[in-house]
This record gives sequence, structure tokens and C-alpha cells, in this order.
Amino acid sequence: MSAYRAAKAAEHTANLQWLRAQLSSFRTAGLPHDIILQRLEEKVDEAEKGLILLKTAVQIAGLEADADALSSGLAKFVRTTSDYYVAGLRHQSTEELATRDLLLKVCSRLHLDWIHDALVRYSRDLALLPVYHGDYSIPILFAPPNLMEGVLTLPGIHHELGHSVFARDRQFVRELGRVVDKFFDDEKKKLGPLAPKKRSEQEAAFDAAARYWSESQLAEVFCDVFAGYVCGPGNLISVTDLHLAEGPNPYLISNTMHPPGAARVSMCERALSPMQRGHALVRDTLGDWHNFVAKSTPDASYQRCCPPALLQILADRVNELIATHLPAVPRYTKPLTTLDEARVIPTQLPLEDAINAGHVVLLASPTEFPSWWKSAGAVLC
Amino acid sequence: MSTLGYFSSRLDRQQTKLELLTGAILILQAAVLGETVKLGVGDEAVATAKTTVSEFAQSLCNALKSGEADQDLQPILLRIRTVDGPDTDWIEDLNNLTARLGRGDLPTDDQITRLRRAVGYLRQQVAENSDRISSR
Repeated sequence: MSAYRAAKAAEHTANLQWLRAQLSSFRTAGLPHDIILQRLEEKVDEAEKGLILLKTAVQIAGLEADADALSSGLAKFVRTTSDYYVAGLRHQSTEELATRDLLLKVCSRLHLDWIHDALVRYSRDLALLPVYHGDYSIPILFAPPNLMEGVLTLPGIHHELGHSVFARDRQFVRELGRVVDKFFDDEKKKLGPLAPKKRSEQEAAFDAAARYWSESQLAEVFCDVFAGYVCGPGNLISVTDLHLAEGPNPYLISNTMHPPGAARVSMCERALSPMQRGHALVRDTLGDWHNFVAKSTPDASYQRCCPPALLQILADRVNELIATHLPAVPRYTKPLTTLDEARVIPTQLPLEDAINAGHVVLLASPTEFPSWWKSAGAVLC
Repeated sequence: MSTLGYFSSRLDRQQTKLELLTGAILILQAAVLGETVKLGVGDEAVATAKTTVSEFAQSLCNALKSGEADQDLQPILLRIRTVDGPDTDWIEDLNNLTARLGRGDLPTDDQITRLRRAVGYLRQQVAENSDRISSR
């Protein structure tokens, strides 16, 4: 056995012992994360079996390359468990634990029944780690420390939960990919008589537009519409705010970024019911948005990749897919209320209702919002 | 909202597949060397490893034939086509491998070498995706 391989095996041994000790200390500390700890302990058990295999393999001539690959996998396991879970479990604040309780109530209400526990980490912008070594039951929600101080960002929680939905079932990406392919195939068929060179150029442009809609772009489309499905008009206002606040060119097409703001807002709008879209505050928000986008001009790339007809089809298809594949997930069909109705805070306020009522209060009576939100926050569920 | 949700789930899926294939190749190599007893694995584990490798070889072979692959096989396909062709050699070897495993035989040394190359391309992709996430 080479000295390096023996050293790595010893290092893995020490790391797994350390992981087990960390998990044990979290149990002793009484963290309310029994399920996460149980899942992590099970994974450490599996890793220890892998380590035994590794220690044997490194002693057999001819298995060196495979043992090195196994060793690399063990190192990755320790790193993800440590960086994501141990680091978060070590410093759970009261606020993070409260948000975790709220998140689990949302998951229960939305019938995301595969989520059994969750870790909330106030350490960065909103993001979800939906799966841990094939396990979707213990996601991590990353969020900024001021997450619960307002309502504009909160539908982002539902968007992030959409990543858990999307990642679990490959059917969603296949279906949306088919929608995109069919759309651009149909566009090619509509070209009519053209010189061969011109036809070839046009067809290549449509092919490039279809390729733009990669899995990562389709994932974001799905999550935007999912958030609107479960959260209603509040999500449209939130996505509009996100792009107004960040302010880049709303038509910018980039393979490394989310779909352009103009396309996202358009799909979120199109996914709502006519009654939800017709509320005066929604129309006002969209008016502000249209004034903002009017300062930029969609280039040929945007026009080719994000035609309104495609955005409508994608929004409709995501709504259909959620209704078909996840029939228990409740659709938020209510329109925004009046200000007077929003002012009435019930004894228990589901997060989705709080988001929509909160947007009404914030937009219709901004000075009233801080005290309203303080009262609403006390009864969130 | 970040792209962590999508990229981390894709990475996890690829990592899980990579670990499965790594373990399966290790067991098959040990079987070829006649070292399964020393390694502590039984006939059932060898049979499972054969199935795992056979399914992977079949899906890669189909992707090479059709030119269409899902996002997890695409990087392997791309690397084979840019640095490790021709396709016909791969298709022939993968077909022979699945036929051999289907008969209950163990893979040859050359077939294991080719398998390791394919899985190595998946490993490179996982490393690149890990970088993408850690840089965020």
C-alpha cells in the first residue's frame, strides 16, 4: 500500500469519527433536528462501510485506481456534510429555528410530504439545497438574516421549495423540454418559401433559441410559476420587485444567469388567473414594471428566445404539470383583497395569506406596514 | 434567488451515479482478479455490480448511437466525441460489454479500462460542477 493511500484512509477515519462526534454533540445539545441527525448518522454509517471497503481495496494489487475513486467520494461526503449541515447545526439562532418551524408548516400545507425536516441558515441570499446524497427529506434553506423583516422577498421561499419539487421528478424537465422543442419546430415550419441559405440561417437561429432553454433555465421557469401557483399574486409583485431592485437590462439573455427579468415577470403574470391579474394593485405594479422595461429595447436574441407565445405556453404547461403530478398541492386562487380586508389579521395567518395581505398593506398604505407586519408576524403559520 | 437549487441537485444526482459506478467497477475488477473474498464482497454484490455497469453501458451506447443524451450523459458524450473517438469503437465495445455481462460473464480488462475512462469523464464533470457551486 502506498504511503499516500494509507494516509488518506487514516484521514477519512479521523473525519468520520469527527462527524459522528459532532452529530452526537448536537443530540446532546437538544437541537430540534432529530430527523436530520438520524439521516446524517445513517449516511455516516454508509460512509464507514465504504471506508472499510477502501481500506481493504488499497491492499489488493490492481485495485488502486478504483480505491482512489472511492477515496475521492468519501472526501466529498465529508465536505458536503460538514460544510452544509454541521456548520449550520453548530450555530442555530432562535430566528433560524423559528423560520424552520414556519417552513415545515408551509411544506405540510403544500403537501410536500417528502420533506421531513429542514435546516435554515441565515448566511447568504435565498437558495435551497434540495437534496443531500440522494435524500430529499432534509433540505437546507439559505436566507439573508433579514428574511422575515418584510414581505417582498418571502415568495422566494416558495420559489426555492419549487427546486425540491423540480429536482425530485425528471418528468418536469422532460415535459418542458418537449414544449420548447415543439415550439421552435413549429416556428421552423411556419417559415414559408425562402432561399436555401436564408432558410438554413433561420433554422439555425431557432435551434440556438431552443438550446438557450437549458435544464437550468427551465428549472427557474418551473420554480417561478410554482411560487405563483401556491402563492398567487404576491409572487408576481415579488418577482417584479426583484428585477426592479436589481435593475439590469430586463432583456439580457445569458446562459449563466436566470431567464431575463422581462420573461420571468411575463410568465409569472401569465400564470395567474384573469381575476388575480385584474386587481388594481397588480395592474399598478405591472404599470411600474412596463415603465421600467420601456427604458430598454429587446434585442434580436431576446425576441428569438423569449417570444410571448412561448412564455404563455411554458406558464400554462407548468401549471398543468403541477396540477397533474402533484394534485394535492393547493393552488392559491384568491385575488388580492381590499386594504380594509387585509388590515384584519386572523388568529392564525398562513404565510401565503400573509404575503398577499402584506403586499396590499405595503402598496396601499406603506406607513401602516411596519406595525401591521409586526402583528401579522406573531400569528404566522 | 440563486442557481444553487438547480446546480446542487444536478451535482448530487451525478455524484450519486458516480459513487454507484465507482463501487460497481471496483467490485468487478476485484472479481476479475479473483479477490472478492479478500475484499469481503459476495456473489450478490457482484451480480448487482454487473447490472449497474450494464445499465450504464447500455444508456451510453444508446446516447452514442442517437446523439441524444440527458444532461448527465452529455458531458461523457461530448468528451468522447472531442478527445476519445471514434464513436464506432465505443459502441462496439459497449455492446460487447453488455452482451458479456448479460451472459453472466465478467468484463475483460480492456472493457474495464474503457468503463473507467467513461466514468472518469463523469468525474471531471462532477469536479467542474462542484467548482461552480463552491464559487457561489
